[in-house]
Amino acid sequence: MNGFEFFVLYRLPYLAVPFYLIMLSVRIWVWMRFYNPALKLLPRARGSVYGVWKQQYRPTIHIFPGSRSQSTEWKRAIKGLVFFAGLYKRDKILWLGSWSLHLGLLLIIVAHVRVILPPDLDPICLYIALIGSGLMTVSGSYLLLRRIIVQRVREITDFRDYLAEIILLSFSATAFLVVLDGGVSSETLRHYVSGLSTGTAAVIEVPHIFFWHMLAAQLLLIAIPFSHLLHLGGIFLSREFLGTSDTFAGEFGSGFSGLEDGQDEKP
Amino acid sequence: MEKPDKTVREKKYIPSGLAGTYMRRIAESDPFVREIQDEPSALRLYMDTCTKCGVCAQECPVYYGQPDKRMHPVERSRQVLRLYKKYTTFWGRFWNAIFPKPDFEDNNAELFAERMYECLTCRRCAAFCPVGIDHSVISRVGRSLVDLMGLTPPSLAQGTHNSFETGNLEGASAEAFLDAIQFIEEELKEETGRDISIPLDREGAEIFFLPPSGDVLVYAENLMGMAKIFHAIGADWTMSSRAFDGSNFGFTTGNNFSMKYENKHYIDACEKLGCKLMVMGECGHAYRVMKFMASEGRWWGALPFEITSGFEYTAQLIRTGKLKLDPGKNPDVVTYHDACQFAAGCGIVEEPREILKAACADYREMPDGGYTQWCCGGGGGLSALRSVRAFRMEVSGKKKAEQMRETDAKIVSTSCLQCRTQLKEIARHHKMPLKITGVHEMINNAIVLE
Ligand code: SF4
Ligand code: SF4
Repeated sequence: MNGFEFFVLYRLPYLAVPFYLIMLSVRIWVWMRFYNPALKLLPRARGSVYGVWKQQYRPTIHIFPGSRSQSTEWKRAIKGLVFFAGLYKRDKILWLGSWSLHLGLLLIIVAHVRVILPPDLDPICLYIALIGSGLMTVSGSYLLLRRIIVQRVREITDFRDYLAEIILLSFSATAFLVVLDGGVSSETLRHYVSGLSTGTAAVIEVPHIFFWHMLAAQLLLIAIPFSHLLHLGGIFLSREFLGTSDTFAGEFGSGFSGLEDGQDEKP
Repeated sequence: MEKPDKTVREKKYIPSGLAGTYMRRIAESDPFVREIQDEPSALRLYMDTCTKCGVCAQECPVYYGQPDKRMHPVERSRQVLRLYKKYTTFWGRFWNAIFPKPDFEDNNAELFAERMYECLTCRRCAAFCPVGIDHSVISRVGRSLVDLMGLTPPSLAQGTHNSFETGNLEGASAEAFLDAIQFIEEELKEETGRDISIPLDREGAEIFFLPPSGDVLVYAENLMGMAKIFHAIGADWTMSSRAFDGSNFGFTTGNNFSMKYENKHYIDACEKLGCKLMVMGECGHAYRVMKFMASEGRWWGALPFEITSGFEYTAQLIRTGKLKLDPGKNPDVVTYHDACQFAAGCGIVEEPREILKAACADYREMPDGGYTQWCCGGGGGLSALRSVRAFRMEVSGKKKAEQMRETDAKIVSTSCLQCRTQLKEIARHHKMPLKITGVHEMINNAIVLE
């Protein structure tokens, strides 16, 4: 193991993870000051955060009037968030690429849970990781290609966006290769993570490609707050999230539905 | 674009720091600015959530007409966002302190103004953006800056100015209004043989009717249709001789102050007359501001009257069988163009269709009608600008011209005066033998008075 590999595996995490957490916390703090429809899904609160909540409950101007009952809002938020139903209605190919990319990412994250699972679940987790990283690599390649080829997308893409997508693609491709290479056992992973969390560089035996995967993963954490990948969290700012607009849930509604409930009144 | 006329407004380039002050005011969630359109959220949302997928451009009528970078919604909004970032975010201020940049690209405020008026504020992008970014809100913030600089196109600035001074866009005097009303009453008498009056300033009337002044002074058929409806059901209604223009140019020009106070005119008039229901005419801007901003946003507190649009009112009468209509009076094929502010702004989609289906013998849908209609190309006040006529005909109105050609309709009915002007010009420019009408104009033809 050379010095750079050592740095990436045993030192960089101490920079990348806190950096990501701090940057994201700052964003969340900023987002809280704005109208944030996601907060409206939660019950009203009193006490120290009351000021923030109160701001969220001010009268709102709706984009497209739609049903505003709490249960409909939940249903729409889930439909939009889990299935990207709105995008599905607009552009099916883009939806397929985008949805499978996010699904792949989710599967990769789920597969990492094996750090806390018994070793006999390893094969299943590796299988999940293989599918996830494969999906993500294929769809990520499509999205990157689309970005380069389609004029209206290329026109608004800058250097940072390309960089972020290339890092994302490297992350999934290296994850795929790690699994193809036989993967890393959950025991080794546990050893590695506990070593990092206790501050001791517990050196582990891992395939060479694992180093590249770790490099890509950490670069990704650093890149997220500065690129369009930030929509990961920013989406909660969208009032489409609540289904105050019919569009996010992919339902364009069927006319003016009345404005009876007092959901948006100040408390 | 037209150069601003000094007689309308003193031309003042944005004094250094003003862009910053305005942007900070937005960022600080100033209640006045905030409650208008969630502007700070829209800007933040764009900054933190845009996935740069390009869907908005695919759906934007302007980009459709001229698919290049300048017309890209994201690119246009970026012009406003760079100011927002520069003045309100930590990193923006940090980098600007080290490498100061001009406020506008190429340091050209006129170019910035021109670009803000290349968005039709139609919200089609918002309907299709997977994360719901509304470029119309961002363009409107840009227009506010343009207005602060005194660079608002003169005809729009003049309209806003008139609304302020006289309570109506045209700057018409109360006498001119009274003359027009008298003329319309005579027309009604001649046509129907009945005394259909248009009551003015009647205190204690139940309904306050508020059409855009164009429906009184230019296209009277809509008002005639409405007067016949009120006559047919024996409604207790009135108009005001002071506040007779239900339109809102402050909304269009980004002048928040004007938008709010133009709206106050009608509220005061309705309150003073003690009416219980305000029925608004065929102007989507005014209705959106009144219903979804002033009323829901409680600009002037809880209002002592209900607000509805003429479409909702008439459709309800048709549903309950209170109006007798003879569709044979409108025998030609009719289609409907959804005005952006009514459809995408207020969700009024079904009602005009119900009316037209009841009043016309052969109604056909325009492709993509409804919430996700294509703008006529004259939205956001553009149809009032002669100077951008070529842009309206060949770029922003290109898609609508194609759609109009696709339908077999002889008549295109629409719910907004601005659309009406633009569609007329499109039909003439592209040599299409089409008649453009208002929705209540079709009722005016079809209603049977007993
Ligand atoms: S559609 Fe929305 S997310 Fe996609 S580029 Fe346009 S503004 Fe950004
Ligand atoms: S509001 Fe209309 S014209 Fe403006 S960017 Fe969106 S789609 Fe284009």
